[in-house]
Amino acid sequence: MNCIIFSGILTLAFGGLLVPIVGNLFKLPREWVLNLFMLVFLIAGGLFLYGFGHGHIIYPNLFTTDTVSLLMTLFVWFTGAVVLITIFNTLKGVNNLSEILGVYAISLSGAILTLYANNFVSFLVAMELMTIPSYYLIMARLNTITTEAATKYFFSGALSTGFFLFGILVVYAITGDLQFSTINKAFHADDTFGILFFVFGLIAILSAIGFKMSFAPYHFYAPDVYTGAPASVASYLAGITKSAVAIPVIRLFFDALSFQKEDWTILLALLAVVTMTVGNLLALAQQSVARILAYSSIAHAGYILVGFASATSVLAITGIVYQAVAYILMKAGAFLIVTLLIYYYGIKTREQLRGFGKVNPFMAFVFTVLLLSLAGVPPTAGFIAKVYLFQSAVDAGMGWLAFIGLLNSAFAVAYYLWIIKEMYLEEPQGVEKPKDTSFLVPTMAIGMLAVLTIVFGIWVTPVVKASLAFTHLFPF
Amino acid sequence: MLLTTIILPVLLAPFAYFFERQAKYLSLFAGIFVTLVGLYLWANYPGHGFAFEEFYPIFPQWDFNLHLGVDALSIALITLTGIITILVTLSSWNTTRQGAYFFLILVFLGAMVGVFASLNYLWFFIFWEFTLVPMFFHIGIWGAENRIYAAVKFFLYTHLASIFLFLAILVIFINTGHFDFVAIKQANIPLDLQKVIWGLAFIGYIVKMPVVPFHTWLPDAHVQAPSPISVILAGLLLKMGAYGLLRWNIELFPEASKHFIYLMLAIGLLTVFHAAFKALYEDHVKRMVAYSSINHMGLVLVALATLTAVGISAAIYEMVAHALIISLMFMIAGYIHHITGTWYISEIGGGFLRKFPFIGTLYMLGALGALGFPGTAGFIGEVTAIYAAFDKFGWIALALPFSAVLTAGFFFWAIRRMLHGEESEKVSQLHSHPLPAVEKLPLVVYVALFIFLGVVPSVLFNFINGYAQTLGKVLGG
Repeated sequence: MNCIIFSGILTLAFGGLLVPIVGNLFKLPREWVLNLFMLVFLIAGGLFLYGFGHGHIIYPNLFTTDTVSLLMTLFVWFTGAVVLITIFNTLKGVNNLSEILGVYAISLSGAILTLYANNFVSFLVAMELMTIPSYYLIMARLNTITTEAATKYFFSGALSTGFFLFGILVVYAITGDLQFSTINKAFHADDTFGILFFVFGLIAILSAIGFKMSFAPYHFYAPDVYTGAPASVASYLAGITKSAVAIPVIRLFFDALSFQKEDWTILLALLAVVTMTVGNLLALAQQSVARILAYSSIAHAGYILVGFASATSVLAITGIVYQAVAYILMKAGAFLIVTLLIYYYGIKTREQLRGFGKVNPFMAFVFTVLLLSLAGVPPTAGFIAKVYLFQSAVDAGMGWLAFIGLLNSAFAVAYYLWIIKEMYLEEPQGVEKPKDTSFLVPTMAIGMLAVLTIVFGIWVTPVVKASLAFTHLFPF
Repeated sequence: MLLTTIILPVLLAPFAYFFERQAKYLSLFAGIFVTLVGLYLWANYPGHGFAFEEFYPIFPQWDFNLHLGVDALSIALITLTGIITILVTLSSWNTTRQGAYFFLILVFLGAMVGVFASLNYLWFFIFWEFTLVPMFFHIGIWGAENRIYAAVKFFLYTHLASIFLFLAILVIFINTGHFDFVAIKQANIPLDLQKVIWGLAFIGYIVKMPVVPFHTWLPDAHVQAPSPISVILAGLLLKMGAYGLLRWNIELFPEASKHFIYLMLAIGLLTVFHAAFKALYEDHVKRMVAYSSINHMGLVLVALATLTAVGISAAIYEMVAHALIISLMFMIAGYIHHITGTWYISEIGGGFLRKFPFIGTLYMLGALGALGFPGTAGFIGEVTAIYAAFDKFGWIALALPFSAVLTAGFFFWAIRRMLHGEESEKVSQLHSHPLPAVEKLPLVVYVALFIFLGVVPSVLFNFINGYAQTLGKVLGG
């Protein structure tokens, strides 16, 4: 791993440790704590940008540095900063705010570290660094609902770690190796017993990833957790962590497990179909906006699985990476808007959103752009992601999968459009303008995410180039 | 220049939103600009092939490039887009919430020019899909009582159809590595695969056109939309379907097209007659016009089905004629509703013409155009379409004049019931309702244009002749 990037990650982690201590020691006002955190983020961002062309490699066996992880780092970092601002603005009433922000920064450093994982052990460690602080984040506001959400998330997280460890055990027992890039070579085609045994390991690993990325049938916790947690934390969990996990999973499937492609592609294709359909059908039935987005995040896990299922195509990696990028921007952005809606306007359900376009045109417009991107309407990043994902499915000879995916995304438009319909086409239902007008800064920040979804819906070059360079690392 | 034509309206759009009072002038300016660009292209078009090409590489390796270029077909439709935008802006001079309204009109105008000028299939699709968004808000915010249902239905229905088109585009890319029109045309796609692509894309196009049995979104959308937006729907949005079918199906895959002649003919004839009978039965002023619009698009499909130079010329001519005539009819239907407060012919009773001579006369003129009365553009379009169909299919095409009879039937009957006769109680209670001059002007311009095209059809025919001849030769040989 590039040492400058690593120091950026360490800056985030130690900043998360130190800033609350400094803040409490000197009894700094909250705004100053936020400013210190922004400074930490700026330094980290500077290091990430500088690390693009500089720095030598450390820990080559644990972490790798490639174009896609570098690019994703920037997206995670930027979206992470927007989430930080929104957490600050919407959790003002909490008295341990500086600790929450600190824990969040540590978790975010884990998310960035995950992007670089190239080894089963480092993958697990990075993922835990990302996940364990988030249990605390979910309970930022302590009440029965958040406690339930945190408990659910904790148990499913613990279960997934257990599965993952079991999978690692099997892999190590057979190959004596834990690095993604060399496991492939440790296998022999005539080792039928080993491969049979390996299937157990594969299923265990798949289950662990299933929990993290919330695809069916491991999705049950997701809606409860994402709606139970404070929505700003949910935007981090649903938007950033899921996309961050997807990148090492590309290495895992396309590199480490590529010798058994024929077996798991069809399994993943079926999982993709089930996940998309379950997510979209259940999202249609929801009233709460946060819950709609939670189920739609399951559906999006299904779309990304389409990319994994079409592993025989070079396009697949581009599709997955593009979906990860687009998903970070649009899902985190949409959840952040929901955060602002709940905090400033007390709006939770679709009906309460009626006429919101007249109450706060700017916020409604940003939300509309993000929702259209989630729905895959051009010219947004969400659309381009779908272009490459479904293209890869057609290329891999799974036209039926592409068709089901497209059909799903066409039906999914219904519930996104329904939210837009409530905002613009209905008359206001007595939603009052809040006295607290501090929503402007976070709305502007989220507006930048919306602008980015449009920019990357037209200017595809950076993401596609990065993922093409990434593609060359894998045996195709 | 083409890129400027796409981007300028989109760039003006935010200004329209924030400067509400000036919004309509911005829209008018953009409309005039697009019209002038269209006329400039018209005057300087060299006569064959694509001209004024522009190429903006975004990711050339996977052919994600904004490739723009126009030929006679696109120039005619871009000019039409500009003219319709000017007239729609004038018709909406006194509408409510002008900032948002003209914001959407401007964004739509940019996307529309993009649809007609894009030679990259993916970009074509991007513009094509994006047009739904402004239309959704237009119908949903400014529409009539049942507007939300109509807007959601319109969006979902056409979006669902687009996924077939999208799948066709993906299949093309996977098999050729190109989205570019010229490159796809040169690529050797096996005939069977061509047929699959053709069929998938066909679904996307005929839903937009729309033809039976996928037409059910249209009457709802039209009836609920405000009249100027109905004009955009009928005048421009439906043209997208016919344009896509002609450019990206027939022109791109001439071999495969030959296998779908009878499918197109059957669907076209079914549409013509179904729509005509539905209109005959209809009591709702605007819904009748909507069915008449579907009827015309069926005729366009029959003309396209011939795959001959004459047929293609007829189809393009009918598209332009339909845009002008049906737009007028929608505006008039809207005014009739505005004056009388009812949509139903039977409730209006009779004697409308004597009390409201301006609106009544224009309704008659529009009806004459729609039923193909000699001297109007409708006549030229219909006669050439019937001639082309007769030339190709023989006796089957003789069914078409009967549909013309039906069209004449429902319009004359509506005129008889609504305009003439004894002044009904309802009409006698109405107060006279002077239209502002700015709203009268577009109505007169529609009439002037379709009569001009009816008297001097050579203006358009000469221009598209080269295109139709070249394509006809490819399809015939």
